[in-house]
Amino acid sequence: MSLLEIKDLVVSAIKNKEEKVDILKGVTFSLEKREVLGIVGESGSGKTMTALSIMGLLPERVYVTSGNILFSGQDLITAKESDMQKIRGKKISMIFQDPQSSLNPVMSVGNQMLEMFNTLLPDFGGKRKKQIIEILRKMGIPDPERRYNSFPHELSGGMNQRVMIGMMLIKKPKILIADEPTTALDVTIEKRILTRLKELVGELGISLVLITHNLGLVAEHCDRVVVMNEGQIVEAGDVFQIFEAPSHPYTRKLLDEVPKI
Amino acid sequence: MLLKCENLKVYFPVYGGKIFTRKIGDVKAVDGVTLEIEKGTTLGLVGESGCGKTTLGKTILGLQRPTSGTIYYEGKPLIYDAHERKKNGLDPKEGKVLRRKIQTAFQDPSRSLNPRMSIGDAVAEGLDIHKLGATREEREERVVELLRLVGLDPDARKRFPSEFSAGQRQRVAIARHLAPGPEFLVLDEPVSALDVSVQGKILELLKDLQQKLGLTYLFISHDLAVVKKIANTVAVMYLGKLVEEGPAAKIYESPMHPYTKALLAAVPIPDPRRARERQDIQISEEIPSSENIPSGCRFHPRCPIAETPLCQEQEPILEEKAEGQLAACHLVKNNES
Amino acid sequence: MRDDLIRYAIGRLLFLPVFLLIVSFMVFYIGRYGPGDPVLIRAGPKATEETVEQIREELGFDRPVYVQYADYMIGLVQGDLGESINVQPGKSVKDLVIPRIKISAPITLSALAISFSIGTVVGLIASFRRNTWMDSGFIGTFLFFSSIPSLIMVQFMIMLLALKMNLVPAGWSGDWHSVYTTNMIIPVLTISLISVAGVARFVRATTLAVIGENYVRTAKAKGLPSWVVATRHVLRNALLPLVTVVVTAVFTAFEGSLFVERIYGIPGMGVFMVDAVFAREYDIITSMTVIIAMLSVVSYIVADILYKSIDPRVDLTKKM
Repeated sequence: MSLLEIKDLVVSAIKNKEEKVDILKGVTFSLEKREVLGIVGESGSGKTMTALSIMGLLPERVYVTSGNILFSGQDLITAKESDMQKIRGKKISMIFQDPQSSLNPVMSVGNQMLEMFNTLLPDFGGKRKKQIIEILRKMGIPDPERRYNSFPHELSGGMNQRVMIGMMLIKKPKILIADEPTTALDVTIEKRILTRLKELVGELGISLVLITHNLGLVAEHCDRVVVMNEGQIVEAGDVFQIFEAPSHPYTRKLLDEVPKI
Repeated sequence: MLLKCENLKVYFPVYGGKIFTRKIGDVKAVDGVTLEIEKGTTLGLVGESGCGKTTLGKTILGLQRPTSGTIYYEGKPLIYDAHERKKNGLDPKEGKVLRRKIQTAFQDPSRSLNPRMSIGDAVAEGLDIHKLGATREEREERVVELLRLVGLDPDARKRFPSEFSAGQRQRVAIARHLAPGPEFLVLDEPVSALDVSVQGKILELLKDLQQKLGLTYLFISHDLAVVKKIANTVAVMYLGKLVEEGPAAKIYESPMHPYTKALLAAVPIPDPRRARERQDIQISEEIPSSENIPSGCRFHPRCPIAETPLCQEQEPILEEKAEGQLAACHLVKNNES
Repeated sequence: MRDDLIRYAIGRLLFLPVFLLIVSFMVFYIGRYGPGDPVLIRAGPKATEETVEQIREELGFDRPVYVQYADYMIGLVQGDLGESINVQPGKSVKDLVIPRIKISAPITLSALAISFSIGTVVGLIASFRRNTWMDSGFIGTFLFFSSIPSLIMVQFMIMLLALKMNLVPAGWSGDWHSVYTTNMIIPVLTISLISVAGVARFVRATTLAVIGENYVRTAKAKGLPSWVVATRHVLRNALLPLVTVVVTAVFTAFEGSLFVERIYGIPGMGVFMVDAVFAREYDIITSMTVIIAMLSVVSYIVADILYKSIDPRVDLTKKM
């Protein structure tokens, strides 16, 4: 049984009884344990919607109208909100594109990470705080004791994204979904963050779903690839196969257009 | 030589102090940049965020006042303000002409177009600002011509930006900036917000226009792959200074400065086998702020090869190390390629 | 962090005396050069010209204006707000104003407390249940009430609660000290009912803006329970702008509502100040204007500092 199985997923935006637009038109793919899956496609292809469907965080007026999302056999679509809250951040985590706006601006970075422990009990002996400072250090954030009390606007984009990654991995989830995690960052920092991400994923034995429009990143970091276009998967396969012997014309078009150094 | 910057410095003061706010330092966004752009060519200015490339672009456009140094356009100092021109013994009226000749295309086309203005009107605005196109027919004609030039159907000029794709909107923005008939364009991340497939088309358009209209470009971007497609010369900027400069081909094939090498090594390669075999060049992430520039070579704290005391003490000069290629590094020997 | 707040406060406070000087100067001169003459009011319609001039001299209004101004200012910095001319001849402004503030302030502050609490709750419900009947229903109802002029509203309240239902007195009964009695009910109710809509719409707007933010999405993605997302992430950021509004309202609470006071017969600040203008009570007008101006400025400073202590992004050192 795969770790995550998505079958014929259809997601629609419903304005009222007459106006219905299908955003995802029957998406099917699976994710195995300890693998790095790349979901690639242009903007509007449905990559983010797929991720949000898994997390149960679809925006208003957007619903799953048919299909299955099975996480180790558990159906996520019919799950209650309280069940989903037990899964988010703990079994399946997600990090987003713009780290600067994805963190609460009036809470310190440390306190936001502390929330992952989700308990109302006070932190006796500062154990949790120490744990978090260690995580910050492991993520490569210099001077973590001081940074614990910093606010997001005091840190750079790269730093904030590291905070996000560290934060979302605290509970050691089985799956981490990264939606364009480095698109807003400089290329040298992008490289460092993705390298670190892969190291962590290997250490913790988790599966990574990397959503991006950057084929170069997919080639470098992913084991398998899923190519999306206009709400559908046009091709899926092993990374070498996709890049060296693409079968679908859309995949070929994407590969042709990638600027090469 | 169309445009030349000589030891250009743009500093932003920082205020602080316990009781009375006074200046306590400077953010040295541009810290002594000298470069030249030849007519009809494209200079690709690359660097990561905070290196000062956008500030440099704004200074050329007159949106930012330089702290010191001079910019020359067609051999004469580039001053837009009529009053200042007079002070420097130049014809004050020429300032307006310069504003026409030097144009820009900014980063995010979806935000630079007024959503309540039809694209025809948006393009016409470019004419109105410079008081070109005396009669309504003339204006109309020019708008049609411009839209066609950028590959858009002129019949669509009554429609609004929201009805177009991102790529098309960027074309409209380009048309608008071509309206006054410029010679020199400062392009700051013109394709960053676009999908890869659209990027290619817009870059083709820009190259096409350059040929047709004899334009000169300063192409600013953090994306090395994009710059490769359009630049004749490339200059690499770090913390306010140029660290390497040379013909595009040379820079990409045989970069000299360690920062350039690191940048190139960081660009993802869409080839799984090559990507996994490639050598990794790691540089530390802590980018110093432009307020606290490191001593000596400003790259030394992050540099993988900065071992000598010279690197920590003395700032290297940007000088020619190989034919046509300049680098600012103590450890790059002359005539090395 | 502490010293940039202090520096900001000091900087602003240094500006205050200059500001008050300008305000007092303007009001002083407008009064003296404007139409109307309190001396004539004091003298009465039957007085002779000599009597009028005599009174004028007695009160010191025959002196050049700048002398009068200097005299007033000297008194002001010592805490002397001047004295009344006609309302209660000779009585110091302070003695007249303080008992009235003791009546108006509790009424306005209570109304503030009620309208802000109800308004916030309504606004939050409206935003969490946007575009449903609760949203339009609640907001619509209070909008209806806020569209009724206070003049009409207070009369309606009197008719309903006092005359029809006999729950409260139909007018202010008792004396200066009868504030904390059933006297308060109609004025407080009137003012609060009218103000709820404004607060509710404001809260609704700021909350909606926050709900769509990326960090709220992140908070949900962390698997936090809904109530934590709602309070720590949504509310804290949504209610932040309310700080400024509340602080300024509190500082100027003593001003009182003219129509409500007039109709209900409340001996408060609202009617007092308006009557003072009609009676050309120079000292009362000038002094009260100066005090209101001073409290307004101070309230903005306090609000700014409070805001900064809650929202770390605010930078008070940036030069405007």
